[in-house]
Amino acid sequence: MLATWRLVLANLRKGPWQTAGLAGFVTLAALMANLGLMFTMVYPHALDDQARAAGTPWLSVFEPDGSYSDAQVSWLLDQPGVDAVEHADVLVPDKTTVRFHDGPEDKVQAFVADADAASGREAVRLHDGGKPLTDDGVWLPYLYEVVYGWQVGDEFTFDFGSSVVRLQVCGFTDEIPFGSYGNVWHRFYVASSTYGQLADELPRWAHLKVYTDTPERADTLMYEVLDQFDGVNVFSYTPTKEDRLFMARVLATVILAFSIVVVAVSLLVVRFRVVASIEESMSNIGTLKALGYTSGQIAGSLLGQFGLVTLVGSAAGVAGSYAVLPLVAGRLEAQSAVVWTPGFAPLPALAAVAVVAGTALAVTGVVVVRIRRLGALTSLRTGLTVHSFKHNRFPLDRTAGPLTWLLAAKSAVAAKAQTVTIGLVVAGVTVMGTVTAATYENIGADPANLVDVIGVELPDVHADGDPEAIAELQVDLASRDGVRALFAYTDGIPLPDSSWPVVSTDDFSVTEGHMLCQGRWPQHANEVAVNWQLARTNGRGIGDTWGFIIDGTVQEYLVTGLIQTVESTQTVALTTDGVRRLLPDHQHDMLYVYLDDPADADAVAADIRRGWADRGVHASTDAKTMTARMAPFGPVVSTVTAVVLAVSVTIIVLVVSLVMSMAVRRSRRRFGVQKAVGFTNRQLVAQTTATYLPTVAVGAAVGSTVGCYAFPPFMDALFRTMDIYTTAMRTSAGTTAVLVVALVALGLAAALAATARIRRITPYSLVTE
Amino acid sequence: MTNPILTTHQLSKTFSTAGVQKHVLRNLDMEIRAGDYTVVMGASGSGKSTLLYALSGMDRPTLGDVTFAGQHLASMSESALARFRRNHCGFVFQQVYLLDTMSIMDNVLAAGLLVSNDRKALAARAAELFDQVKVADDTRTKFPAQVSGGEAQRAGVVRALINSPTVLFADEPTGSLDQTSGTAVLDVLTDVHTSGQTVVMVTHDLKSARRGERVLYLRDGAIVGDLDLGPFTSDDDTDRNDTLRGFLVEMGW
Repeated sequence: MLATWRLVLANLRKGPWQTAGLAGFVTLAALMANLGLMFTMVYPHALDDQARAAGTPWLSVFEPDGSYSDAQVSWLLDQPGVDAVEHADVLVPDKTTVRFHDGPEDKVQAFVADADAASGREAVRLHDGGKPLTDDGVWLPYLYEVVYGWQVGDEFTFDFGSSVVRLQVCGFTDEIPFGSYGNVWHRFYVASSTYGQLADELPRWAHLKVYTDTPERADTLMYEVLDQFDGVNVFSYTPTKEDRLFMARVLATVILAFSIVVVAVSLLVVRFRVVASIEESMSNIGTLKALGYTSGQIAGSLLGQFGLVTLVGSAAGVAGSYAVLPLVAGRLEAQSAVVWTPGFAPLPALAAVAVVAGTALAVTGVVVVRIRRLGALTSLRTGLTVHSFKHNRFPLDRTAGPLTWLLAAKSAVAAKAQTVTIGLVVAGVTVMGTVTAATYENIGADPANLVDVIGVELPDVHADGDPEAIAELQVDLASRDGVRALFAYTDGIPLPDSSWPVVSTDDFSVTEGHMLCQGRWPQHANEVAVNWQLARTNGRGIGDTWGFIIDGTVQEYLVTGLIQTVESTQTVALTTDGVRRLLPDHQHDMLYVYLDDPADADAVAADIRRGWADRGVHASTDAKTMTARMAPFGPVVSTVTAVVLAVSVTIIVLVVSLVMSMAVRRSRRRFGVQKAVGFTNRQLVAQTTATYLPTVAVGAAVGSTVGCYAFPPFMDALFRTMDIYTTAMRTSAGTTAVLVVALVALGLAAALAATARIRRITPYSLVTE
Repeated sequence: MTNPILTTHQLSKTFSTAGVQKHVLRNLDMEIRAGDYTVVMGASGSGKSTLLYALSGMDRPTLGDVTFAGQHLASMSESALARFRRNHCGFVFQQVYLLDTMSIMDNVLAAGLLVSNDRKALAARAAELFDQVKVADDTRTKFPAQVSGGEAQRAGVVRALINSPTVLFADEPTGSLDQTSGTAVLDVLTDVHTSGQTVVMVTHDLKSARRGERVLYLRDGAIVGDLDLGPFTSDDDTDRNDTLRGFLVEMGW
């Protein structure tokens, strides 16, 4: 054992830079692995912890005060797994308009709670910097600080109906807003005096906080409540959690996928290093065997050497990930309002170390087995040969081309293993680089794109109100300069005997969103497009019929296409004539307006408000609002893109440097001979670089091509969790080309730097070696 | 007496190891004449190989200079020295140093293609040289690890001659060969010299040394003996052998 350990130390001393390079790889692999695991395994629990600390009930039932009864509470308490039910009075405006700080307005579902009456489990928990509530003060969800941009001390206004409420921001609460995309309920805490004043204008509702033993129990109970209680809004924690964690899940998936690539790369490098180590130590192995060392002892020394390096490297990687985690968590907090201070988590750390170091050790074990097959004399005399003697590739007397390239081709073929290693590494890194760059381009560079590509119809200006007024407004705006397109629309027509929200317009071909995911829009009164999940659940597809029951009669429609809507599995689309088969008097109550210059949206909306408010028409700037909502996505994606690209660059530099420096070291004699017969330094540098550059170029080209093809299905798979069947995310040829050129240039620079030592090799060293 | 093609002026070479300086060549002035077969002898560490590599521009002297046809090697750049070696020098090493990733033929052509792009002419000249040194056709396509030491060394000679060098340098060319293979290599060197090739050979082998026309003896980095043996005729020339042996005894060999 002692003898083996001494060999381990001797091996480590032999090539400190190679050891450090290898450790660097393993460090990167473990860093990425632990980052991905932390966001997958720990981050969701941070949200749970935040919810628990805030006393968030796993199920919230909102019902108009008139329908609330003690019997309902008793029924809830009788349900399995329900620990407690608490009741609070809240004020629920029909629709609330809030504003981004110095930005556009946003329509949200807000509800007002009396902070002085807050009691029970759901105590108010203020975020850092909060102040006591004054009579004219308000505590807002933390979301309003990080996403909407409000600060303590600002004057915050919200509108409902024709009333405007002005309050001073006193702080932000750490609570998790209820609901998910498109239907998130924001709670504003006000003082008793303000609450009393608002109660005169706003309807009073009951908020039943149902505490179940597990969130999953609440998910089940939610459907039973919907069956039992009429006219209620019910929120369970799980969809809220999914909504809050969506971006983190995207990031974790990207990081985990990338970490798999990095781990695979590090395994290739480990294998390459172990093989090289055996080849370089061949005569030493022969000597050791001649001295009486067993194959097991010698193999053990290599296992010990590489085991130690990978163990230390992966531990360092896990430690290093804790330096990156706060950066990414901070960016995520600005998007999700989820407060997470990453602490040491032993399980992901152990998993990262086990996967990285364990697989590296396994690869080492597989490779060192060959030592058993080496006899002492074989090792001493010949050793292993790294090239094939079977074929003389590119014979110089019969192959045309510059000498440098021919010799480079010979070297590349002779060292197939390292050529393939470099190619695979560069390809793998380029795949992830392409995917990450495309993610940045589709989401990070302009987060508003996210909306465009995932099935939301987003006009520059959205007007809604009385159908007759909307019809007149449509005529009025059609002749206005700067209006590019407009159409009347309906979103969510209530149909009797149907729980499917219906969207409708005269001609869907003028819509600009990415709602249609298969087939075509309905064009005639007897055609329908159905949500892809709804169709799947009902065993229907394009070409099948779809029935609506009206007054006990089934009206059948032909399914022409499948549509997708964020976090909705129920929507169906009908033409105006199609709706009128069911509701003959139906008229659209919305107008979607698209402008030549979206920057004019505020002015157009203001004009509509000025001229049509007395007709009950309200106007909003949807695209601008959504852009503001999506803005926090940009920094998150940018940060992850920066991390992934930085790691990609480091990997390529490390791999090329490691392989090139090893190649130069192992080829000292060859270079000495070549110099002796008249090769110049420049020729040798060019020859060595040319040996690997085509491999780097091919690897980058293959990787980018795979990345381009893999990106859309990768994003589609991610967005399926948000009920989006397919996104319109695509890779850009320009960006991909720039990435490939940059990676090849980087590889070339690293190669040139690594080959600088060729200049220090002299032909005379042949004699002195 | 022919004109000198290589001349050294106050040539000195000093190595430093762990702060200790070793003067391998000391203010050496000498000439290599065109068409000569010069043999350099001396005890181990006397500076024989160092002199050979300084003469061929493979190593730079610490002081002094080597002049080739009026050009000062000391003032040449690394690239210029490389061009000097490819155009004017051929090397035969004791360890052969064929590139193990290339066939025998490619080893030769890799050197030839540095000077000429005429593959056909190069291949023809290589074939001619291979015939001359008696390397069989099927051996030429083999890799160095697949041929005998003698074949490899003869291939090394072909590589050294492919560009028709001005001077052929040989550093202990028979040092790692058995007697039969060594004699074959010496015969090749003698043959090419007979056809006009200038040869400079370092050796400590008496049998090799008697192939030369001129024998220089180095001791402590200085030339202490210079013997003119005249043209080699055969190994059985006892007068020539006695003259050389006497010279070496006198030199303290």
